[in-house]
Amino acid sequence: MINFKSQIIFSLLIANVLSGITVKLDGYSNQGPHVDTLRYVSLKVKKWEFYTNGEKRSVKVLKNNDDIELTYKLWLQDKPAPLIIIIPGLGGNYVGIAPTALAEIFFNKGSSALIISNPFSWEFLLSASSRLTPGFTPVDARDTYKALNIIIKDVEKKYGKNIFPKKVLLGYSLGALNTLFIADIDSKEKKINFDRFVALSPPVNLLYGLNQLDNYYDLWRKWPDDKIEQVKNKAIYLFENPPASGTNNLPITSEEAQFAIGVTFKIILEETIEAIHSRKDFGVLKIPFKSSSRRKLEKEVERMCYKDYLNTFLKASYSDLFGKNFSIKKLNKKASLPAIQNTLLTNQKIRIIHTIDDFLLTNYDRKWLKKVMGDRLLFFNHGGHLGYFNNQTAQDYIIKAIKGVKFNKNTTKKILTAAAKSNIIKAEKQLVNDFDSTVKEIDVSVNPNNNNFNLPPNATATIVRVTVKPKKKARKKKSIGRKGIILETME
Amino acid sequence: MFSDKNTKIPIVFFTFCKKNAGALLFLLFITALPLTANEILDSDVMETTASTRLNSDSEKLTGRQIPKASTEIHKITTEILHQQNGNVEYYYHEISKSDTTNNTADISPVAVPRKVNIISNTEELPKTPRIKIEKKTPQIKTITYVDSVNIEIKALPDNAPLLSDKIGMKDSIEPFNRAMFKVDNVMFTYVFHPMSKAYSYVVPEYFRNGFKRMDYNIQMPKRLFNNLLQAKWKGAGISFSKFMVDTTVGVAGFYDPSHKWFGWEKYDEDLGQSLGKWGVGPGCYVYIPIIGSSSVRDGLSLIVDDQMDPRAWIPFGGSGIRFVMRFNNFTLDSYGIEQQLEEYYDSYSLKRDFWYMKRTADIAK
Repeated sequence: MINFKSQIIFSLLIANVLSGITVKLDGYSNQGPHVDTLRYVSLKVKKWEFYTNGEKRSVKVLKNNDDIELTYKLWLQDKPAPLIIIIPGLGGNYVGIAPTALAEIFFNKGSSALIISNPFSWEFLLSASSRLTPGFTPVDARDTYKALNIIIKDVEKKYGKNIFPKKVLLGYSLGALNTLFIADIDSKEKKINFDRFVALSPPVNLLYGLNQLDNYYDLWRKWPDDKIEQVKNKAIYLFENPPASGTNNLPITSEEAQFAIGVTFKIILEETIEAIHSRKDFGVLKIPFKSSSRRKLEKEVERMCYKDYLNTFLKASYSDLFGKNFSIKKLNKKASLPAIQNTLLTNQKIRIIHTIDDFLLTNYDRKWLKKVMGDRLLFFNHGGHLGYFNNQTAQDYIIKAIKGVKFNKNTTKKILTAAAKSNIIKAEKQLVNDFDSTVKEIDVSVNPNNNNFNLPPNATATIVRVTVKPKKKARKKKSIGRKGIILETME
Repeated sequence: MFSDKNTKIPIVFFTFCKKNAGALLFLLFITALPLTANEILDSDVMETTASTRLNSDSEKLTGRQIPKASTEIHKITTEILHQQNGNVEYYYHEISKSDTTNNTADISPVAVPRKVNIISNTEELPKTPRIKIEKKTPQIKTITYVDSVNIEIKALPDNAPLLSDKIGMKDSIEPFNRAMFKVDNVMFTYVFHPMSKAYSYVVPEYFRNGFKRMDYNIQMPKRLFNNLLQAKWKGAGISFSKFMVDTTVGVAGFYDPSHKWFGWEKYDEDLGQSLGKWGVGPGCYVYIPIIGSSSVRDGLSLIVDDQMDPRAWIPFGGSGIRFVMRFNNFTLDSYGIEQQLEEYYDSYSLKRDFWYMKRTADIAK
């Protein structure tokens, strides 16, 4: 009877188990996901010396002699320290301000840091992309994994093999999607054997995410000319006066913010297409590449959106893989997060941080992520897409993710209630009584959200449900076992 | 309460069952056979069967010695490994649903043992929790992802307007501009940036910022004149007052007390902006080495603006002072310029577009 009662109580507690937890960002002024996203630019390098102190190194990744070398940036601690490798988002480069600022945060916490360009950047595609056409995640991740392997060997060759006792791969946005696909490769091949994979705001459905960016850019088409001019001026103002962390009201509407986001990513697409076209003509563009005069080419490229890019350049580049049956849906199925679901389910090295209002995710995506990732997933209550970077709470949780903390104990309170303690003892007694019984099932679950169930700060919160079958003698009478519940904590 | 008709039915049924018990059991057995793997996976009955078989004393499970599972075993439950001095270890394995659908007989390699140690089984229950979970894996199961988002792919018509037509700038002499841009980059990379590094090493940032403010302060006549040209009276007044305060209290403009004390902002205006305000178009884009982005209108305006700089009135050395001060300002942005050149594939077009957008925004202010 005790067990049944306990089970009811704890079943309620377990209700939110594996649902991911949501953390409130302290001091964050929410203006909706789109305006919040613009706060991403407020993350700056605190000391410019840090930017200049980074060591720039290059490695040869592709065999062709014509190919340029892939450059990366490295900040090494004086003594052996964990290495955090950062893959920036779509179009992100190894000299980007945001990844450098992240590297600075990690470096100040005692880690070494390394930044590599995102596979969807002109720098990477010209120096390390096997197909020259980024966007198909499995191949991008494969190329990045190969490049990282060479880079780590390069650093270890110069500074010694034991320079990195641990290696962590951290990516954000599209870089996070790549990070998770690399986790899939690394778990099978173990060439680098990363100790942790941290993905910040990865898109789940790549095509959906890119379509959102296309839609945001196209907003200007329904605006009158003076509105376009007005929005442009606002964007310039914001660019020159980036919002500080905790700024209450940014002088921009949600729609204008959407357009600013769309334009930013459109510029990246145009740069990428031009870089591809400069190296190889896939027969998609009519105007040939000329380094001295590109205005006409720029106009032609401007007509392309992300969907067009997938439907033309990737179609041409991956014809051998998909053949005549190429479709964006098929490509997307292999390039999106559900393609590596088994790795996400089982790889305990993975941590994902997201926001509950990221516009690159649908509600369905969020639910799917919760089911798959359980307590290795954390949501912030605001921030849109990456708009939480400059928030101290968010930075603390990113550090926790790097350390491998599971997101269950942090939102629970610190003291066990008397009722919970009592239940622990009762349940334990029951387990002891059934000690020599054959245990039928043990289910370990975590309840991070319930306020009644509080755990010490250094404990890994767990509720253990043990279903036992009766002792041998009793089994003759009962075919279905009794059930017991163990509530426990782990240091 | 019950009619005879109603009570007869169960009696007849019971009699039938009693007579044909053997046949019914056989029928039950036959119908249970064609259960598919997935159905079995979800069946508690099969779980019990599996655990009964695996929990026999003859079969010991360890993390390494995972037994081959036959297709009907989909959930291998726990096993007491040893029971010694009150210590018990449980191992827990679970096979994924997806694996079973493929009829793979082996336990999935991703099934990681979950180990539970019970520290003590004495009657005296310790106050602290006594179970440690050393390893924990989520249950491996298939979670279907349904991509129900319908995205239409529609190419933009050839005559559709482009954003650059609305807010972009004419670049009629692009080859010349790009050539000048390259010259500028070479000078930056091999001359000015190394010089900047050396200068920055010698002169601390504090002083460089102070000199930059002095350079700004001394150009007050240009700002005053162009504010007046545009009938921006407030801007003109503040520009003049700011100059007076900063020149005196701020030690020739090295400090900026007017902003600190009174919150006076900068009202930057030049002749190019004044002409723009009056409706003069920019003409085409022109890239001038060292000076950077400009237009026909703004480039010509620079000549007039320069004459309003008091340093130009110094007979000898005025230009030299101006050059040194501008170089000082450049050293504060030098690394930023380097970063932009490295970050963008075509920093020329970005620089051009951004400059034009900023210029039009400044004129519209």
